[in-house]
Amino acid sequence: MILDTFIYYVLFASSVLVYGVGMNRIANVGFEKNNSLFFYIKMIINVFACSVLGWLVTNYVLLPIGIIELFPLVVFLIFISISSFIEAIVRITTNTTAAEFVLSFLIVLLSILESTSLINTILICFCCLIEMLLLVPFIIAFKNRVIPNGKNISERYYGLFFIFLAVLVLVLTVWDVVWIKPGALL
Amino acid sequence: MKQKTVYLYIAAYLTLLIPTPGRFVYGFTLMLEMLLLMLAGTGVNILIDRLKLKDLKTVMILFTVLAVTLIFRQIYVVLYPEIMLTLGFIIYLVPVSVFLLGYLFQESEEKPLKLLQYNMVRAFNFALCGLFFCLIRDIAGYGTFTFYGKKHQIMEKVIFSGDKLGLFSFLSTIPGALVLCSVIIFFHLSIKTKFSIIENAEGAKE
Repeated sequence: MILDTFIYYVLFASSVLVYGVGMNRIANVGFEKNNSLFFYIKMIINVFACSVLGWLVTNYVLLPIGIIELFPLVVFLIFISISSFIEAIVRITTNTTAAEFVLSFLIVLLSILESTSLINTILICFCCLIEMLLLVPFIIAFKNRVIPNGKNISERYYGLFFIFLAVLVLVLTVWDVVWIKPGALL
Repeated sequence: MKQKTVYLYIAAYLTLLIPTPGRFVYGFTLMLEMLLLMLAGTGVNILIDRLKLKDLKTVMILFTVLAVTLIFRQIYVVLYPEIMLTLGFIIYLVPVSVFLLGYLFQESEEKPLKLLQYNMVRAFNFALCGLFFCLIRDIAGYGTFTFYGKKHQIMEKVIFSGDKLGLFSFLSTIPGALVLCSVIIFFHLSIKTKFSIIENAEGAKE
């Protein structure tokens, strides 16, 4: 089951390319200034802590009293609390900011929404983060081919970038079709 | 279209319209949700400025848009449950999309009604582009037009039969949506280039 979930969220239904979690962030890979290591450590701790606590509250508090539909609000409150706490620690110790909301919150929401157990929640968070990490070398290689010298983002780059993402999705899903069957192409 | 607006649109397209199923009714639902969230978010922004609670601004706006999303979802669960079943996670992409957050948190010293008008005009512009995008995907990709129908079901009007679609059915897939976005961007770029050539030629004549 662990392998099935991992392959599903990394390859079959890629959390970045199919679910859209963090798709706008990968578009800016290589253009934004590199974040410090503390930024990524804070994000990973934040995601895992929020998803675990969110799942526990959803499963043992919201579900028994029948208000499971309110889980995004509850998860948001948990997320803000944990994120502010960790951000305060990072600012006091390193004097840098590590604030990040959209990607972390979407990963937490997706993991709680689609999980069947606590282990599944942690696994889905792990899969989303691994998926982002796996795509970074491809994006950087593409960026270096299209804009080898400058750092200017232009509309032409985004036009090609969309086609590049389409090729990536096709590469991940093309093997799942029986192409030799009559009618598969048309 | 200003340069910054174009990149906001690109980010919003990536976040919102690509994962959406290729039917017009789903795109219409998401655009309606986006307009509602923009209205609610701008209203809360104005209220926070009036009450001078700037420290709580970010949290209050995000909490409000999430709450309105949940209300919107529950209304649709009662009226058209099939739509919410299909959209699933995608309705939660709307409140956290870049486009929405970019306009909601802007510091503006304009009057409240003027700020509301400014944000809603931007939201309507994006919604129209999104609806046009979804319409192309529905007609070219499936050969149908879908909308809300009777008895809590989706109405589907077949325009072309499946046999006549050919390779255009690719547009109904996620790679197809990405390629369609790319075509729209290159089309916009070619028009912009033509206009800049004309402007440069007129400037050189003078």
